[in-house]
Amino acid sequence: MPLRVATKDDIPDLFDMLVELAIFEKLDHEVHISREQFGRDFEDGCFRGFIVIDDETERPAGMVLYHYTYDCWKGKTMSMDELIVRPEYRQKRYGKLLWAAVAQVAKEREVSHIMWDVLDWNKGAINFYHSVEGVFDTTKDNEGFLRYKMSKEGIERFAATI
Amino acid sequence: MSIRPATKDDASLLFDMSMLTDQLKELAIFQKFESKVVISREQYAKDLEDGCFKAFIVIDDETGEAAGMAIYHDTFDCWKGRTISMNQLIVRPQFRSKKYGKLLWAAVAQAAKDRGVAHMSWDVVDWNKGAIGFYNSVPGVREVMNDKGLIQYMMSKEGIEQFTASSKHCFL
Repeated sequence: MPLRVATKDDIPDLFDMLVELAIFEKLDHEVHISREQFGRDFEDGCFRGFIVIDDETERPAGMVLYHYTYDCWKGKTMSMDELIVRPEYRQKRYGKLLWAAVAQVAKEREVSHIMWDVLDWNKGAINFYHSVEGVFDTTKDNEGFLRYKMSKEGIERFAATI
Repeated sequence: MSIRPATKDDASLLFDMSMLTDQLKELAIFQKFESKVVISREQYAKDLEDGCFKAFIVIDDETGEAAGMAIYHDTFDCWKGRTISMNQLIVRPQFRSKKYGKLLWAAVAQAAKDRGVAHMSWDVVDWNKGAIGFYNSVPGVREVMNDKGLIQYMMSKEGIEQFTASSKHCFL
């Protein structure tokens, strides 16, 4: 099984992949956190994640991070961040595996929804997210990031697929 | 006038102040795609006790009643680090013009400073001119989203420093 919970030993790979995604999004100049602080914040529980190690090459192929948030009307929610599959590892369903792992955590925590952002020009990602039921895009921020949400019902259905 | 962190014993009070405000009922209508069901009083209290969110309460000098509240919770921006999200900054209508709003906001800003956040953010509905004017009255506030009737504001680390420094006298 290529997917597992990320540990502090994965920090260098997680940070590398985070920077790769920022470069792809042409926003790497916005990454202000240092690798060291990122590692400290992980150890302090500010966020958690999953990592996929490719079966064939045994190299890190992808990751996803998440942290808990709160909606005063709906209760516990979650934010999914940095869902990345490295280009050379596409078409192996790692993306859905990573997302479904977060959905499983969300289901266990009984959140009302999961949220995440996608750049409005990232057609590949947009199509990927819309291929699963229970996903809505809501608002767009001033930098072109679309805010997506997956409902409780969507989470239940999707988590059941892994 | 006193402001203090909310404890689990304040859960019902916080719940009443936030759920029974007309403004927030309007906000529920705004979020069209979601069901109208809101969290129960019991779950809200449990979430407060479990540390899912924190809050400040202001008690009015003259009446000894709860005059307002602000809720916040820790969040994370993978590119910037620790952040805080502020919600439900409310001053009951009968207690307006006593600077309780700024006091509550400054208390959350102090918590944000203590956490060493990169920024703090919060949402306002775009028809709430009073709130928009209030938030724009303090330097270091930037609009980062304005779409579908919702505005999101962000206060930078520098803005937080400046605001907490200028508000110190409020806590004496």
